[in-house]
Amino acid sequence: MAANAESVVRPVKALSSSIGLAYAPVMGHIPDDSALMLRYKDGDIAAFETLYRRHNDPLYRYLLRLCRHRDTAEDIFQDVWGKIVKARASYRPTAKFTTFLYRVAHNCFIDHLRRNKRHSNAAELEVELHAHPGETLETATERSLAKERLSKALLDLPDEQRDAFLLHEEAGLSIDDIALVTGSNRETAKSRLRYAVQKLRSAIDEDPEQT
Amino acid sequence: MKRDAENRVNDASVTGAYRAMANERAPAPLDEKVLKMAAAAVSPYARARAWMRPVAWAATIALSFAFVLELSQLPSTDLNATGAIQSADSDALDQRVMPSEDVAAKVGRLAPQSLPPASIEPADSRQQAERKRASTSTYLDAPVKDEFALREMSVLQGAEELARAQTGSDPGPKADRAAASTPSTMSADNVSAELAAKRRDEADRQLAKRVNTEARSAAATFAATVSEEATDQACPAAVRATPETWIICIRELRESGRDKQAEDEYIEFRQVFPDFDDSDTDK
Repeated sequence: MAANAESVVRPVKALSSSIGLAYAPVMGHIPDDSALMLRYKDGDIAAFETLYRRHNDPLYRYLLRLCRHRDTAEDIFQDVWGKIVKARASYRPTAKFTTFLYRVAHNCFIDHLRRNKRHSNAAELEVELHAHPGETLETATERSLAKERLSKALLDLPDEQRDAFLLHEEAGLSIDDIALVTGSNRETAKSRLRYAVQKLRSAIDEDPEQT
Repeated sequence: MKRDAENRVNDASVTGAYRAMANERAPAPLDEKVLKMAAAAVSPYARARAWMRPVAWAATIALSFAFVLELSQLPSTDLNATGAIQSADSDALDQRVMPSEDVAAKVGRLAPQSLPPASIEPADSRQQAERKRASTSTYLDAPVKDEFALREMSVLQGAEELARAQTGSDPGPKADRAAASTPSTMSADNVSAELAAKRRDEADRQLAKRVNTEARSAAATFAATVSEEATDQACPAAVRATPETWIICIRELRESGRDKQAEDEYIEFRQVFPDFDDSDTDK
């Protein structure tokens, strides 16, 4: 059951990635996230596994980029899923599961910031340099430099703008959903996202020779 | 639709660059941890634990309440239970009472031959006789409550009668009443017990008399000895006040034969009154 669902989910995720979204809700014969959550509420662990496989990587990347520390991101990742598991009894499919999941993740991150007020700004994430097959060293170096600039620009973004950008890219949330998750109004969320995209585009388009 | 288009702040270059960069996947151990946690949360044990806790609390409270209630009502419950058992036993005994003739015949077969048949009278008639005697008797003012008290009272009355007969005194109206109230059908063991009690009472009484007499004589002897020792001077102090009375006292001692005392008194008299002119007989 889980294997079948997973075999269906993976092409969907590939399709979503091809259009630039880590996850795009697809209606049809694929069980809805809320339905899976309700099945898990009734004790169906396979439904939870399907749900988890859909959201584990985007959520992990979201937390990794947001926290900028791998261990912290993993801790918060477990914490988020633990809260989802505990909240299964009181879960009501009033909103999209993705919105629910990332709101929990956002709140966990905010709690982490409050617990650790001396939040270190030093990022430990490094851009891995891997040469793609058939790629020349010059091309690989240029691509890695672009990644490095983007990564640096992303890490240099203010937390709110980075949060909005990651919610848009990893969770595929709309501006309204971003506003809902971050607890801000729609215009604020929209301006945060716009500023983030502008800064990142500037970093990408930046001439490496000027730097 | 327009709203959705407006909501999306897409930049293909930024999105593509980010997609190319962000290819991290959640570590497999982290996936295992989360899935184990999720599986443990819906395991039968966890489900059982979810409802077992309130049930355990409810059971504990109920048991505690029952225990406290039982402790608080234990004495009254026991008394009631004992009373119920006793009443049930007495009812059962009443139901199991045989006819008096059957009881007499059966007990007569089992009883020793020396015993008179009166000793095996039925319990009902004996109880009736005891009740009748208790209602007519005025020997004791206290109400007669049970069979043992009645039996004791009759024994006392018999002993009193015997004592009066032996001492020859008039038995009086109480003896008459006791005789009248003595049941005509007394068992042999009762009679023998009464006789033994009477003999014991008589022996005790004689012993007490003897002890009384001896004690009195001993006390009298002791008192005389003490008085003699205490009155070592034969003539009292008042007599000794004047020589005339004292010498008269000495003369009376001599006339009564108490020469030693008269001599002692005369020696003392001469020490006190050396110049008194007495006659020759006083020397």
